[in-house]
Amino acid sequence: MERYLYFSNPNSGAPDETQETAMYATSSLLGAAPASAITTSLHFAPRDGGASPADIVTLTHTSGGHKAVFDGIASLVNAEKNNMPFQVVADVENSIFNISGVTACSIASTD
Amino acid sequence: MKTNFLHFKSIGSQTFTYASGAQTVTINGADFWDVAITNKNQVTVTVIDATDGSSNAIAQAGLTLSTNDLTILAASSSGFDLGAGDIITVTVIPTENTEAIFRADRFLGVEANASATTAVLSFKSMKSRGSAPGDDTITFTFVSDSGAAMMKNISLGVLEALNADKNGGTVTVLDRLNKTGTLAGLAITKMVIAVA
Repeated sequence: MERYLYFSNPNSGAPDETQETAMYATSSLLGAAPASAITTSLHFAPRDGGASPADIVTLTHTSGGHKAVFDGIASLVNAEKNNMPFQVVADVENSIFNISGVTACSIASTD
Repeated sequence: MKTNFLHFKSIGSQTFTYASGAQTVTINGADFWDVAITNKNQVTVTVIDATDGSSNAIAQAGLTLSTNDLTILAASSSGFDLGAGDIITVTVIPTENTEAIFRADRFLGVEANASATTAVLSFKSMKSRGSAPGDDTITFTFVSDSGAAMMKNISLGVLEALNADKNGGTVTVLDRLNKTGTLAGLAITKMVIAVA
């Protein structure tokens, strides 16, 4: 059974614009790396089916907390805690953050 | 299907104690830096003032970099007026080339290259699924042992990480800062991460 990662980051009120929410198959997660001292980029295969560049979800977290984000995303990909197919990573709309230290996210897709 | 993510972290921090004279420190030595610092914007600099113990972050405008020589300008130029005993810490700003995780199922291979002292580990690009997107690489540098064991041990260490943790998770192959990972016991002297 495929699992999916969910993100939301509405700019105000309900999500009503592109890139305010996203759900990606865990198999679409290509890798992750720091973008700055307080952000980590998650690279996903593009949602529009294109080849490149990757869609990027950027998680904001405590300074230097990249390894915690790596461990957290790996745990969610593998559904270690609940074995559910729907894994909320960062749902700003509902103030749910399931990786320790993460406080915000942004979504950038290329389509 | 459980997925392992292979983790790599390079080193990039050095501490100096100021004595007197020019306010310049020399960075990029192999013992402290995996990432080549070619622009001052790649690092942060803090100074612990020996007189009061305060920690002072130096603004980018207060720094200059000439090859490996990083200079802290005077306080009047947005820098800091150093005194004897002040402790200067230069640290690389994290980027995709200082630390990363890669999917185990996107591992391509590890091989020796044209040098007897380097090996290259490759993953499919994390930024593209195109037909020919290139690869993300981690290049290890080590002291040559004439091929006796190092290359084989690197391969075995990578294999251990690829197959570790049957429940899936993050597996550290080499964390040069914390000296951990499946390759930590090998005499690797440099690791360069290059996300394509």
